[in-house]
Amino acid sequence: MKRTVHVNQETVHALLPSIPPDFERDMRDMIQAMPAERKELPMRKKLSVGLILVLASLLLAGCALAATLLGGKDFVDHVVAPKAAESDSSRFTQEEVQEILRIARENELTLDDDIEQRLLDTENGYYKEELMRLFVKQEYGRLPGAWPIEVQHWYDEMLNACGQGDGYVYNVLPAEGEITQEEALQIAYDYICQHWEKDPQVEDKALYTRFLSYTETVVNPHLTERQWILEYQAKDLYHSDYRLFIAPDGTVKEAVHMPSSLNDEWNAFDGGVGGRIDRKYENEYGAVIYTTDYVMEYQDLLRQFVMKHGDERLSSGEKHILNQTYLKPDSAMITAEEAIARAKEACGDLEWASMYRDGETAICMQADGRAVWKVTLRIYDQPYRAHWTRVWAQLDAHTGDVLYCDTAADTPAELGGQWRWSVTEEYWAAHRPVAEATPAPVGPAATPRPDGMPSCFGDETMAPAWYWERLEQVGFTNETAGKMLTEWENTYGRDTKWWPLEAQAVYDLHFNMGDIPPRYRPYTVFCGLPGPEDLPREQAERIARDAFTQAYGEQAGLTADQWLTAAHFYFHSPDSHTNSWSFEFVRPDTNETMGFVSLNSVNGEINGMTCGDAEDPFILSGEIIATPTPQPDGKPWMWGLDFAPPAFWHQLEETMAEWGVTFDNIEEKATEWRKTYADGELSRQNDLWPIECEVMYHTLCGMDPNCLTNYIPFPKADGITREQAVEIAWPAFREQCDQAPGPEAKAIVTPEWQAEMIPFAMLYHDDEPDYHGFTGTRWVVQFMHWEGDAYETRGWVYIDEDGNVMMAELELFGNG
Amino acid sequence: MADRWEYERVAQEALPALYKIAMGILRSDADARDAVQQALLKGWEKKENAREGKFRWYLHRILVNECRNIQRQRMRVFPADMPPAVEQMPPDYRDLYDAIYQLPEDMRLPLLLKYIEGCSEKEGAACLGIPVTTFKNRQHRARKQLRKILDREVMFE
Repeated sequence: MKRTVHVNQETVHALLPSIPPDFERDMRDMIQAMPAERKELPMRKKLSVGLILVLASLLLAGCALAATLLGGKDFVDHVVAPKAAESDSSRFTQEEVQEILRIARENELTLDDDIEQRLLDTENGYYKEELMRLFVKQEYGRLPGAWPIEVQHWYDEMLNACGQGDGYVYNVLPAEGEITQEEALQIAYDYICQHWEKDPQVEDKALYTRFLSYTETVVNPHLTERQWILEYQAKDLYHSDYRLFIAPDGTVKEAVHMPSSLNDEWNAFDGGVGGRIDRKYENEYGAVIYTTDYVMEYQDLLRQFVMKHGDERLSSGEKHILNQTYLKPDSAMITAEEAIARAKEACGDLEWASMYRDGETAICMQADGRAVWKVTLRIYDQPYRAHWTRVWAQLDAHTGDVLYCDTAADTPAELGGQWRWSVTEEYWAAHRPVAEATPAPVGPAATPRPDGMPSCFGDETMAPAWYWERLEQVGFTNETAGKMLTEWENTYGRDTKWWPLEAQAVYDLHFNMGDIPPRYRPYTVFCGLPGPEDLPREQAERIARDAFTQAYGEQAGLTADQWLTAAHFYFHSPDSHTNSWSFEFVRPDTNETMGFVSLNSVNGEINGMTCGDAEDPFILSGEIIATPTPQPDGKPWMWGLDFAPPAFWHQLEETMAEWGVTFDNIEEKATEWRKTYADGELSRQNDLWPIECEVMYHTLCGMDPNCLTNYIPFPKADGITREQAVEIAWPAFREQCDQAPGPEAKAIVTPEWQAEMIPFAMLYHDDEPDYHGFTGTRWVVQFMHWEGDAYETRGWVYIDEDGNVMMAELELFGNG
Repeated sequence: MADRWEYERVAQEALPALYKIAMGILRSDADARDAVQQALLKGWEKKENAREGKFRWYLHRILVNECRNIQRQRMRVFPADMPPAVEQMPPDYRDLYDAIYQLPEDMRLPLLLKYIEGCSEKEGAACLGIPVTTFKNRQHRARKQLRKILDREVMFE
């Protein structure tokens, strides 16, 4: 008797290779280097006429406030906020911005010169909330989280009062019976002393930035949580970071210690050098600006690090920075701005992503025996669908001459380059002149619907007509959704499971389903609403509660009737082939999930049930995953869909009959084909099967409902055969080897190598452009070589159906 | 919503598993690296979308999507690169490895998530964006299929 195979974590882990150390180090480095950022979406809210009148009268007095205004906060309170309340718009007009700046100057309040100039230069005005924040920052610093808690609280209330808040006050003040700020700080200090560090210097402003807030969050309609959130960020490499959450009664709910880079060798990467310097720049300047100063400071910190720990832990990018000679720009050189402008000019007409956080940089350094500006630029991805998005240029720092201006590949497959985040990026450069590589722009994005609804709205293959009508009745449009969702969040908490079903439906439609392509609509699970044939919520909930009680009895000392219930309704449940109700049972005091039950919405049959810290069985998510079900006639879900022409389906049906293949036995047939045509090391190489088998298997078993743009077609009658494709590919591949620089490519064309090289040819069709920009049907011939322990790909040749070579490329170093 | 701290903590912890899962799907070191890198970048950019305390699964979800994108972009419908260690595996492991890779992706992924990341059914479903019951069904189907391929009883522990 054959032994049982045990599948567990140990066996499956052993099957897959561990993460390569260099990659792990780079990724950890990248994670550390991600700068903190905070997205804020100003929301509009109407004000009462009375309040507007009061605020307007204050505005009229604005010019006379000079004697009493103390700083940015007062200015916002008396001038900017009343002005903001005058209209619903989230932006001030340019005239309003100018007026506010004029009043500020008259009251001897100024913003930084560059900020003021930027405000004056914008044609479309400026976001109200951001302008108010700028003035408060002038008085209390760049970091709102480090403002006094009274100011944070005032700011939230002020935003709500002038219609720019979200209607909820997140930052609150301690009430009677709750610990004070001083007590919270003392508790945190004691906790740090007790657990991590004696006498921490966390309140030393030269060493630490302190972020302190007292917050209130609606966890669910029955539970509102208040807590102190305290974070100490070290300003150097030598001190640890701390973060604590403290309850109103003084209990430390959670505490995190992040050891410093230089004081704790084992945790060096937890407080990496790059992360610290980025943070310093963010805190001091509001954003990371990749200037020569930045890189020089980075280099200096890296040197300190290396003196203590050596360079073993540094990423390749950091090692690169360590070894460069950066130069302080002097008056004889062109400026960084000029270098960037000249580089752009040299590239021609491209749409630059200058606002991207590392979109454009200019670093002054010594290279090739002279002072140069190394400039990095980035184009927007969307208009071009390019497989490259970056440009590297090098200019003589004194004359401004552009020495080169090249594209940078984004993927390892393209020219052997690999994109990774860095300041200079030079060390993996794979250059190609921009003029040769400039892609053609693609057409504009889809035109929005004139009625302001998502593109899928009203599609009855996705949901019945009454569903769309009900969403209209609650007032849903793309325009209103944000406001509606904010109000629901304020009322029911952040977790959408507590929201009414209409609110969940609006959330899912707005964030996840709005632009879903038509072909996925009939299959995708999403938050729907119960219809006339579905069980009403009360009845469905009773069934769920009874079933859960029967299965699991009393849970954690609570009986079934004491649990809170969160309800969802889903369309297109793939398990029940109809819609489904889903109920989650929650402890009222801790918000802890006890379990969930999912049931058929029409007949009440239980689809699934779990006990424990269950998540709701379906997901409200940011990504769309279609979950197809077989067609009513039993054919698989993809059969007959329009990604392939009708003739393809007809030929497929005939081929299946000819080969004795059915929808049920295709997997068995595939196992046979593997044994017959591609045994041993190549048993998974389906391109060795007869092409009919490959088409049948891929169509019936390999189609992904999320990418129905590609499939494997049958070769056209008057086109080339697979064997001819291989014959045509060989010389193209050899020619590519001859032209490629370096000994690796030359080695490939030796007779010994060629004798061992195995070409695989696959016919492939895709409506979407691949990373070379190719669409339609082509042969893809892949050249592979046995490297002693594995087959590695050494090159690709693309050939059209008539036998013309479209492109040949090498992978000189295989896939490693 | 995940903040910077949660992002750092979760991404650091999940990194080895993310790579293994990417390798499990793509079976190419270079592609797996790309997928993990893109997932980390997108995870950062979209961290606000993650539910509180669920960022780890959110990151896995993004990774799975990135792997699919790469499969699509690179036309590696049938990945052909072999793992370097497969030769050294004990025969049982090797058969199992082969069998797992004969599974269609929809059955293979639940298996990898469960046994590489130790996902519960709920968490695995969250990663794939599918209902828990579907996740369970696919595991059941995967087991049946493995049993057929290996011609042996297969125990999922």
